[in-house]
Amino acid sequence: MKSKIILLVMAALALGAGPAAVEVGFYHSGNPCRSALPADHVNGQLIIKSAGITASPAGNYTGILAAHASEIRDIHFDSRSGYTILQAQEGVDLEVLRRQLLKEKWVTDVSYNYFATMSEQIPSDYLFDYQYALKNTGQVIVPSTGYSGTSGADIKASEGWDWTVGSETQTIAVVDTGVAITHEDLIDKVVDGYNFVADSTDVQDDEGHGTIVASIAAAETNNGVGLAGTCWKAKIMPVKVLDNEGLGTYLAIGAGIKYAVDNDARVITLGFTGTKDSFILRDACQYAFENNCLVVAPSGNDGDAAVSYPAAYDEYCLAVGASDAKDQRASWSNYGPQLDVVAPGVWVYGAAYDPDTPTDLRSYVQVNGTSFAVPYVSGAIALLLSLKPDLTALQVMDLVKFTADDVNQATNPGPDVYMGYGRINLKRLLGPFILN
Amino acid sequence: MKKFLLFLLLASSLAVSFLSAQEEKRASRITFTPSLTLSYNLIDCTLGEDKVENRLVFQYGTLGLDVELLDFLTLGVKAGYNLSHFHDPVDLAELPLTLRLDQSKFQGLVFGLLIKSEPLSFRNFAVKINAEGLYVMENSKQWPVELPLVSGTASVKNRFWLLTLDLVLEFQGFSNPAIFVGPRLNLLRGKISGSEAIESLTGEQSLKVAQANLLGPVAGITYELGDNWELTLKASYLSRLAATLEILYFF
Repeated sequence: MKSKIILLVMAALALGAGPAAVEVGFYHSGNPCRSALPADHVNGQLIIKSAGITASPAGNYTGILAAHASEIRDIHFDSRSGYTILQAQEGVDLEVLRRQLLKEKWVTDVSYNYFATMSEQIPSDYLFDYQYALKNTGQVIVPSTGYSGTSGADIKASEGWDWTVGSETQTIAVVDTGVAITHEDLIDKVVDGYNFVADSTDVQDDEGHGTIVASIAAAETNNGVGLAGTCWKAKIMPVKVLDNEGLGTYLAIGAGIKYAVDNDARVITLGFTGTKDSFILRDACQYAFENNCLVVAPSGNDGDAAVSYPAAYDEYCLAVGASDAKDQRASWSNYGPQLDVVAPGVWVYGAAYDPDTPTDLRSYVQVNGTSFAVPYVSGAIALLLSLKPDLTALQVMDLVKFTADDVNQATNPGPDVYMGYGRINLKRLLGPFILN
Repeated sequence: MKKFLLFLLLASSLAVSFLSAQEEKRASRITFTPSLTLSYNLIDCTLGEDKVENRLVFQYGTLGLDVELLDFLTLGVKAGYNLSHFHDPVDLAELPLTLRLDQSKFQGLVFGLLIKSEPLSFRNFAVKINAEGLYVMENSKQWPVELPLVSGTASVKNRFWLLTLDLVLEFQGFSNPAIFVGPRLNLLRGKISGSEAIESLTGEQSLKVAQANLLGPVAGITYELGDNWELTLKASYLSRLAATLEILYFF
């Protein structure tokens, strides 16, 4: 069985170059690193609340100016806020001045002009601004075509990261073609795995698919390099069950799943689909589920009304379809009653590895496929288990489904065959439900 | 060190009370005194095994009956209604879906027992011991949990008890009012229990509530309003910021 991967190297098509062209295109385009704020408030500024002042200048200032002329650079009423703004001279002890101001009859209260920051985690990885799946601002996603999405059509990762960015105690097993273990965005993330194709411990990727999947799930994040993983801290366990053409046997896959379970992985990302039902796959998925390890599997890329195997094993697998940057189902994403959720799988970024250029370990690609939607869900589960390691596989499955956004409710309200419970939502999955 | 101080305070209070009773052998008589108490308390506390700091805002009103058994010993009971909430959000994060109490107010019954003793008095001064135990009955509250495609319920119960032991020196040199000051021992213990049921997703979690600091000062005044009414206003701070008003009627 040929692995059903639609892997498009956007920059290669656009620029006629290899994946390295992606690096050239994006290395210098807007590192979203946020510079640190100098303090928690605006330097030298006090905000004065008063009952009687509605305009500037006001006679009320005369007294304070006379008493503190050498300390005050400027004082004026700000009609937009309704407060008086005082700018002190350099070196003035603001707290002393604040206390003195509080003694003035016309002053009700005095505050520093504090800074507030966005309540979300923004990683420094330079491709993050293009990872609409994690944070969609309506940005251009495919520069060569100008394709952009809809703001908010994302998995709410940056808001979910407020609660956790994961834990090194969580391991995501990538049961796939192996992983480029020396790729710059994965090099410190990979733990020991196994190669069930060659029956060896050499888990080096020789096709490229597993490397993309691994990076989407848990690339090294907030390191100023490459892209952001869904779970920043989780480790990656490469389990190679597909050969260099993306082909693998059910026997190898079943053994790979059991290996991952026996080596303490709590979530398994599968990057392949099969059309045939077999106890080999079913038993392996059941084994994982009964050992509190959740198998996350792609629904398939044929656009058929049939969820592929093993995702179709409804009791034991979380079946994931692909949505796009507008929260629409990808036309080629298989659907059916076993489909649980969707995640972005159209023009998503991953770490690239081309076995023909094995020394190129700094490349990234844009790809399409339900198997690239799966690692967003696997990463989300690793985040959840970092917070709540005692959850059972069934509880995890329920939580991922129940907290998803019903993005197609206008046309198909409620759980439906096309998008299941909807597109996953990390903010709701990881954050609290507020009881007022 | 803290435990030793507590023990010392408690032991000395009991010893003084006992010795005084033995030595003075005052004549016994029984009188009944109804009372009304209104109290507002801010109690610094910790929640759960991780000892997350928070503040319990606890206010209550009770009606009570004091029974003076001996000249130096009064026993009392009280019952009433309370309102409580935690100042900062409380997360029940071990539930499958984390629930956050965001200043959710609980209300319910409160019961109390108290012992008042005046074991020593000399000239214009009197040593007084007031011990009070309050039990806040299990206050339960339920919320609907509405998720995009499923719904369920969440319920949270909040119960606790509060022990207070005041050892005060009262100055009665002014004919009215009397003023008092002394150390206060506070002890808060409680439990928040949460549960959720969202289709097949269920879970339960409990958080222990404990007072962060036990010792603090208390001070107040007692004012006699005519022959029958007495009003006591007392305040404490540090470990428990509290203001309490007691009105007693003497037959």
